[in-house]
Amino acid sequence: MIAFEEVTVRFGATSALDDVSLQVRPGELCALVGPSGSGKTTLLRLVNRLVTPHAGRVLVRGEDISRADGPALRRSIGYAMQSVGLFPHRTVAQNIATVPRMLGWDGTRIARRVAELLALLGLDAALADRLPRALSGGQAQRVGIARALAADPDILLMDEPFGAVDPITRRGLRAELRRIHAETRKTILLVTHDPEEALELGTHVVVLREGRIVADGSPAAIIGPGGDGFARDLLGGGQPALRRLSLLPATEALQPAPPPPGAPELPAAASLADALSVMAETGCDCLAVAGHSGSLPIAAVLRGGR
Amino acid sequence: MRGLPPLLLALLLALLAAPAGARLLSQALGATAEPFPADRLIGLAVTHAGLSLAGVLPAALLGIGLGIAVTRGAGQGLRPAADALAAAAQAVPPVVVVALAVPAFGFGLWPTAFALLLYGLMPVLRATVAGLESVPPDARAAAIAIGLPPARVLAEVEWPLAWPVVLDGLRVALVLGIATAAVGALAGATTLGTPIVLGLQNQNQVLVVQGAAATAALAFAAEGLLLAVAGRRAAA
Ligand SMILES: Nc1ncnc2c1ncn2[C@@H]1O[C@H](COP(=O)(O)OP(=O)(O)O)[C@@H](O)[C@H]1O
Ligand SMILES: [Mg+2]
Repeated sequence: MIAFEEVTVRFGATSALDDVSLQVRPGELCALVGPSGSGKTTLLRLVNRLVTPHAGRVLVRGEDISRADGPALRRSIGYAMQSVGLFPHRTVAQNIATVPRMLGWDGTRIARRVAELLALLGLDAALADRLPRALSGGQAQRVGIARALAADPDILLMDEPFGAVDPITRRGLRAELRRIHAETRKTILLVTHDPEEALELGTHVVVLREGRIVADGSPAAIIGPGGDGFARDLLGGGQPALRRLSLLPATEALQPAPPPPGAPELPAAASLADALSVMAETGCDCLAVAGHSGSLPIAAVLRGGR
Repeated sequence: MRGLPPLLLALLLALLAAPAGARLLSQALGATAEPFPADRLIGLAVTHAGLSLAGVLPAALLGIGLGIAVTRGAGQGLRPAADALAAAAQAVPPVVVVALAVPAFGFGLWPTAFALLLYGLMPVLRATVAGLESVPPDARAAAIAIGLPPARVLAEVEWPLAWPVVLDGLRVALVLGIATAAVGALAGATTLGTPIVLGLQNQNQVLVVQGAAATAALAFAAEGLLLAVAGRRAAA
């Protein structure tokens, strides 16, 4: 869906990206993480040609975008900017409707879509007629996401979209994004500072450092024992093995033997870290899993999918 | 309603310029000269307004056009030249511009229209550039990022946000233009400057007061009308 081929981007003397190659397949949610200044935003802006590569190619939907019409390409890709950038003279509804209006949608269709998006992002319908200056930071950020989603693009670029949101709303929005992704199978590139967010949301995690990709793979693989040291430090929160267990479903370590009588039962959706937590709490070293006939002994949990 | 105070002021000044008002004033000052008749004053006001528009309108179009051009990526190199041109245009006193323009345009309305064009250019250009530069960079960046082509970035985002500042520049150019048009009387343009010149020549202060008050009334009336029209546009 999106491919970067040996891309280098320079701003004057500083090189923002250095010989970066990356494939993002359709339907993936690719989380980009890295320290600030590592080139995350630049990588995102290559996709809709807000930045042009100094060397290398960027392909979107199989086409080299250096030949595409810039504005038309951008209208086909949703982009929620890090700085949001709502139009201060337009209401929330008008902001959201910008791209559909340009694409020539009729008024009723636009109104329906705006209402739908406000609901999707948990925004009160009464906000529709407000100007952006009357919104909180978190509300503005959500309107920015709604504006990016408005014309239902198949590719979505999100640059730290939950940065200004309080932790509770943030958790809700994260779940919302996961749901949107699961339901629509959009291809999403998500820049985030938050390791938990990257691991929890990403189907594919890319770690950048000083303009280079140092790790690229599934969340569990990236913080697994064979992974890059920098990526494990960045994402592992000091306990990469525990983080990794939290990413793996408990059912993955199920053994055929039946659980001992009276063994505590885990919910079917629990992770291996949940299993470990129940063991630590109850002192039992073998668990049952709801809806499954096998058992979960501690040795299998610790081996965790290896 | 922002246009109301200038309109009220214009009404007050018009009463002062009217023969009845001027006669009262001259009696209070102990002068005995006859005031300028009202019908001629109105005729002069009409030519004065027409002449001002003929100078200020092109100044506004040119100033806005230049202001937009020098804030685009491609036109940024022209910025110092445009600034210098506008500053130089304003630095020369109007009398001098009118006098210098007479050989080129002949006696009559045109030297004055030319001077007004030069005079109006700088406030409009300045205001256009300042207005466009006051647009929040995030809003402009977002407009580009979601796929508005350059002309629509300007029309839908930059211009509406710059407009209040541009409007202030237009007001200044208009008021300045109407005040300056009085000088045109020296170059043969029959404007509200004509009674002033006559009054000065014949030591008739009543005519000077009438001409000055009528010019100021016209300037305030124009400002009030501009604000009323532009205010309605902004609210729509
Ligand atoms: N428009 C620009 N002009 C100059 N330097 C830039 C520009 N955009 C990014 N950079 C530089 O490129 C590097 C990567 O920036 P960025 O992609 O914004 O990093 P991140 O999003 O990971 O914080 C930084 O050193 C930054 O200063
Ligand atoms: Mg960034």
